[in-house]
This record gives sequence, C-alpha cells and structure tokens, in this order.
Amino acid sequence: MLAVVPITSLKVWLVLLLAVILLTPLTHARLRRAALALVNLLFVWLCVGEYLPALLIGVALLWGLLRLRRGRGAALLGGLVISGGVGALFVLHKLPTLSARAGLSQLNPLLSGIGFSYVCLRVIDVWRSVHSGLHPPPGLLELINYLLPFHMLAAGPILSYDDYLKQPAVPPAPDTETVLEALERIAAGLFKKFVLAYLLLEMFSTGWRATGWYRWVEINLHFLWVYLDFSAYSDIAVGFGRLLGLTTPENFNRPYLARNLTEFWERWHITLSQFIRRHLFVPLHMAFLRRSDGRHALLGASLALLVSFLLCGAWHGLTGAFLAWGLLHAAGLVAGNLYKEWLRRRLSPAALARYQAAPLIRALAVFATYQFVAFSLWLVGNHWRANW
Amino acid sequence: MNAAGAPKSTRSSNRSPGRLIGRMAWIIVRLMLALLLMQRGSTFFYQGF
Repeated sequence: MLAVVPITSLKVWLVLLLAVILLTPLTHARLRRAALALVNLLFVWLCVGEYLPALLIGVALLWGLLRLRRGRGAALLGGLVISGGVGALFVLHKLPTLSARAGLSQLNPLLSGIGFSYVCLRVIDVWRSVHSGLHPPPGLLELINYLLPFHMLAAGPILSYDDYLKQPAVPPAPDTETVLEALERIAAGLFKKFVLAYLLLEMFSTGWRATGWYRWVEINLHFLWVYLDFSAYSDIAVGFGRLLGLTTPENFNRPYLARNLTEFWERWHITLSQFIRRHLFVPLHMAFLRRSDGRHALLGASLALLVSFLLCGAWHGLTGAFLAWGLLHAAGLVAGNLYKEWLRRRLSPAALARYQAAPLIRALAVFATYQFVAFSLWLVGNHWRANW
Repeated sequence: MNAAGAPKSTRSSNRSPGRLIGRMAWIIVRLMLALLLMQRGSTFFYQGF
C-alpha cells in the first residue's frame, strides 16, 4: 500500500531535482506545460503507484464533464456528476471503514496518495470557475497541472484556478537573488520541520499523559508544533514554486500573533480561509441578505460563519471532534464580531482606536486567541495523537 | 543615510560578497542539521490528508 511517500525518500528529491533541470531552461509555453505535467505525473506515480491509470481515467472524466456546457441540461448533468462524485469520494476517503464495508477499500491508497482533501477543493474551484463562465474549460494538461501540482500536493497551499491562470505561461528566468531566496525558504522549511518541530516533540511531548499544569504547557506547545510542522511544508512548497516560477501563495503569516479569531484565520492556512470565504461564506451571506432585503447583516454573517466552519470541520475529518472544533471556531468568530459591534456602539471611534491600540489590551487579546486555538487543537489532538 | 541624505540601498548591501556568503552558509547549516535529523524518518503529520 502506497498511501504516503515520506519526504525523506530520495526518490521524492530526485523528482524535485528533475523538475528544476527540466523546467528551468524551457521557454516554449506548450513544451513547458507538457514537461510540468510529466513531472507532476511522475511525482503522483511515486505516491499512488499502480493506481495511476485509475487516477488518469478520473481526471479525463472530469475534463470531459467540464466541457459539457452546450445547453443547460448538459451543464446541469455535468455539475451533478462532478459534485456527487467528489462528495462520494470525499466521504470514502475520510471514512475508510465505510469504503471497506462497501468493498471499495482499494480507493483509499489512491485518495490518500494524492491528498484528496486538497484535490477536491481544487476540483470545486475549477468547476465553479468554468460553470460561472469566468474561464473556459481547461485543456487536459492544464487540468493535470492545476489539480495535481507536485509541490503543493500533500498539504496545499490551495491555489485558486483564477490565480493559476493568471501566472505567466513562461516565467522569466530566475536571477541569483530569486534562487537564493527560494533556497533560503526551502532550507527554512526543512529546518523548521526536522530540527525545531522534531526537538520540540522530543523534549516536551508526553503524548498527553501529563496532568496538572504541565498539561496546559503541553497544549500550548502542541499548537506551536502543529504550526512549525505545517508551515514548514508550505515554506518548502513556496520555495520550490519560486525556484520554478510557479505561482505558490503564502499560507501562514505569524498566526500566533493574531489578536482575535478573524485575524487568526487571515494568518493561518490562509488559502483555506480564502477558499471558505469565496465558496461558502460570501455566497451564503449574500443569499441571506437577498432574502432579508439587506437587513440583519450581523445575523446573516453569524449563520454563514456557522455553516462555513461546520463544513470546515467536516473537511478536516468526519468525526464528532472535528465538527465540535468547527462549531467552536464559528462560536468564537461570532462572539468576536458581537463584541466588536458592542464596542463600536459603546465607544466613540477615537476611544475605540485607543482601546484597540493599548499594549495591555493587545497582549491580552493575543494571549486569549492563542489559548483558544491551542485548546481547540487539543480537542482534535486525538486525530494526530500518533504523531505528538 | 548616505552623504546625499538618501536612505542607504539595502539591495546593494544584500548583494555584498560577505552577506552572500553568510546567507549561503546559513542555508547549508540548516540543510545539514535537517539532513542529520531527517534520518529519524519523520513524515509531515498530515501526509495522506
């Protein structure tokens, strides 16, 4: 079973080296697209092995369905098949016991190998872009390169299809400074993951066996560890993106400094937050405002947050703990919005600005936000207990 | 500030040979340390997500 290829595998680094050697000198757009597809498929083959043909059939099917735009009936049928298929695969991916019971357990190594949780978000993004008429259906190579980008495969960032199309077909050749910055980013990621996160784990983790005050310390350090590990992957992805001239968005911006949950989600897993805003929060909020003739905006935002973060929790895992985690974050975001509104009504704009700029208030807000996130991560810590 | 009162260019100081060697050395140190500990075989905790 080839569900996970460790980053320590030499094969992984050889494919990355091949990408640099193959893509850097190519100045012909079509050739570059084909070479990138080759590298992506080679990397995916390492991850899924014998299941590659099945994956290619799936991508070809999606490619065909995205082209069903002649007439409303065909487009509707295409949309239904795509959303139904992606939804069903997502449930089977998240619930391996269900797929085993349905006799479809062979799907799991394939879905895990390509990081289907991320792939399904890219499918939704490309489908909505095409369905809304924002962009024409992609070519097959374009679709492979968008859905299965080797450097963003396992854990994002999630590039929107719109941003993917905006990048130049042939980027300018990287200068010394760009190469150095890219290498610094890759080194920073590897250092964070294999030195800092590793030492933190080795030195402070008790595997949640500690009680009393050290449990609190461990909960706080666990959040720091998740950040180091996760942002390390993004650093490596961004570094390779820069080296190869592939648009790779930033995914983290010092989230531990956030003063409230809204700011936290603007700093943590940024591309997921943007996806949720684009495809869930904004459409839901707009639908509510249309129905309520523009009244009760705060109530509409609260309901949209609740649905968005419940689905965000479900995306992380189809378990009660992840749904509770999503609900907790929605409640925290709603409480933050209500508090901000209460302050706005109570204080003059100048007094509000003074209050928000006060060092003690800022420090307390950062501390409270860190604690909230750390405890919410502890709530779902069971999911990753084998690692911490 | 330089003699003309304009701020010093950070771009040129970034390109100075000493700074370049320092940056490269720091990259190598971090890569070596990562390589040393990488052998423990750890994977990213969410791989296969």
